[in-house]
Amino acid sequence: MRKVAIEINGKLVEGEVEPRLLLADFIRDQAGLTGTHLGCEHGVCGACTVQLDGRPVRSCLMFTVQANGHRIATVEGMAPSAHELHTLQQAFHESHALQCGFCTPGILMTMEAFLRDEPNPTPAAIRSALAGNLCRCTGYQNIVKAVGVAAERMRKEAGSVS
Amino acid sequence: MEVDPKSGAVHVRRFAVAYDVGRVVNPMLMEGQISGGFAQGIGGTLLEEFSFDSSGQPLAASFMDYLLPTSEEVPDVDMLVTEDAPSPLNPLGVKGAGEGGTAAVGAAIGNAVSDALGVEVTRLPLSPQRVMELAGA
Amino acid sequence: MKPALFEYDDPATLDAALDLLARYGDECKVLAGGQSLVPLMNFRLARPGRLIDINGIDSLAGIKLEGGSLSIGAMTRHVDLERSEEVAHGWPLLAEAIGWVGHGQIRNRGTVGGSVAHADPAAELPAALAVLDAKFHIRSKRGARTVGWDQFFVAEFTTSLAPDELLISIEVPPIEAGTATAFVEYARRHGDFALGGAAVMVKVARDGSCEKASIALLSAGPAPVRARNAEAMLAGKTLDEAVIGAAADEAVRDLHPTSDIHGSSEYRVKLLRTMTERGLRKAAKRAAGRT
Repeated sequence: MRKVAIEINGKLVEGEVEPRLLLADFIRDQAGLTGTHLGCEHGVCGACTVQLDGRPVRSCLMFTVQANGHRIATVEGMAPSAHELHTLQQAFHESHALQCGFCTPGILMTMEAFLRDEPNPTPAAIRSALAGNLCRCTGYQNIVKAVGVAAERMRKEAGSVS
Repeated sequence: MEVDPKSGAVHVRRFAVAYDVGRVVNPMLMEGQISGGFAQGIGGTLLEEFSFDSSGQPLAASFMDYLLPTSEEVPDVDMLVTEDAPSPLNPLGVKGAGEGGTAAVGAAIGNAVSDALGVEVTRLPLSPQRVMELAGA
Repeated sequence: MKPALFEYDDPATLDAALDLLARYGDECKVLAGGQSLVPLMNFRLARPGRLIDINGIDSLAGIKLEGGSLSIGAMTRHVDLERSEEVAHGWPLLAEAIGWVGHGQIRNRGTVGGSVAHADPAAELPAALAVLDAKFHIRSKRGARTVGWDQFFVAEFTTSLAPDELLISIEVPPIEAGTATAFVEYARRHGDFALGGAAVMVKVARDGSCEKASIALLSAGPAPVRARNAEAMLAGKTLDEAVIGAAADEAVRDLHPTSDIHGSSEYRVKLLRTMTERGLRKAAKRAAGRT
């Protein structure tokens, strides 16, 4: 067993784990954050995507001990408050970019990082950045639309701040 | 749609679904069903295949081998939803609306490939190998 | 689909890692990015008794220019190779190849060293490195050695690394003036393992004829395949359609790639011919664009 201390959504979570415990399982079972989903456990579907030090990674392909001392962001940390959704989440809601919602947290984590890298993406670039996250319900169309809507809103927000 | 006979690749550029559903209860959900169904249709037509070896062992036993379409394989779909022929069998006139996205995709793409290659397509999925074989025929 | 139990070490220094490898040898496996190893462990297709996690050894990561050559530390993440300006400028073939590796999430964790040590015949980097005549620097407690790509890649998922050895860095010589490169691949979906692909480098003389060519094929055999006969055919010739076509035919003449559910051996050979042709065409066009 190994002791770990991992910052998740700004809060330090401590635990004692077997080295083989997948990061996704630590996040879900020990940190109690079940927004991160396990769809395949072999690194293909992307439902388990979280951000490690700001970059999207597949949490089913990392051992918890490897995240010791690092910063993790999950979907639960996106909304600025209990009363307000993140701009991306709001756009997903309005554009019907989720149906069953299983793939959605992973997609939000991937897209939030993507929009930080590319605040003004073309639909083709969005589609390409999305290719590591599988969705069985939506056919991706509304997801691409929602990301475009969110990107525009976020550019306006950034513009009005500066 | 484009076929590349030298690699067997099939690229769907544009796809349209026309669907009479009698009465639309929730247009947003209706369109979501068509879009999602279309993706499933693309999967079944081009990518998804349950393969077995001669002793019945499954060969496509993970998502690395059983291929689900990603955002790059599913273009936007043009949708025409009409309410011209409501069902006489219920007070709202609603008809089934969930499956129209999927139902015709295999036939439509299969026929498009036939048109492109001048050969009849009688089997799905159209894997790159099958497409190349059809192109060579 | 959870991995079997294993002992775990995360050495902080290279020496500590080499000590552990010397002690545990083939009872342990090195954990780098984990993007290839962990899926196998989750399926329990791989059940190493001990993992040596080298992610904490900072000295193993980094991209450096050393006397005109490119030095890539084994723990360099794919994404850092992808974003490196030195690589994009001096070794565009690597920048082009890395974009085909999986998806962003995989590239954020996966490492260059891990990818080559895993030696998947369908992997992009081994083929690109074969064309570039890369050298592999290896260390163990017994000492250091350097091998060329052709001695490094032995067979599918097999390199010449001994159980106590660690890949430290990859050295890529500078690309000569008048050279153009291209990387082409076909996979069934964006980010999938290639069904076939080609990495190509051509050096073109002032009169437009090909001085030298390097062609490496991926998913063509157990290790990256350099199409030496095809390369020889191109020397001194102008890279027109007929010449390129003949070279592509020659490149696949003796290939016997393994059949699987995604493609028969016959299909793969035809695909590889197409990839060779397209790679050569692309590189030739880029070379012409420069003069």
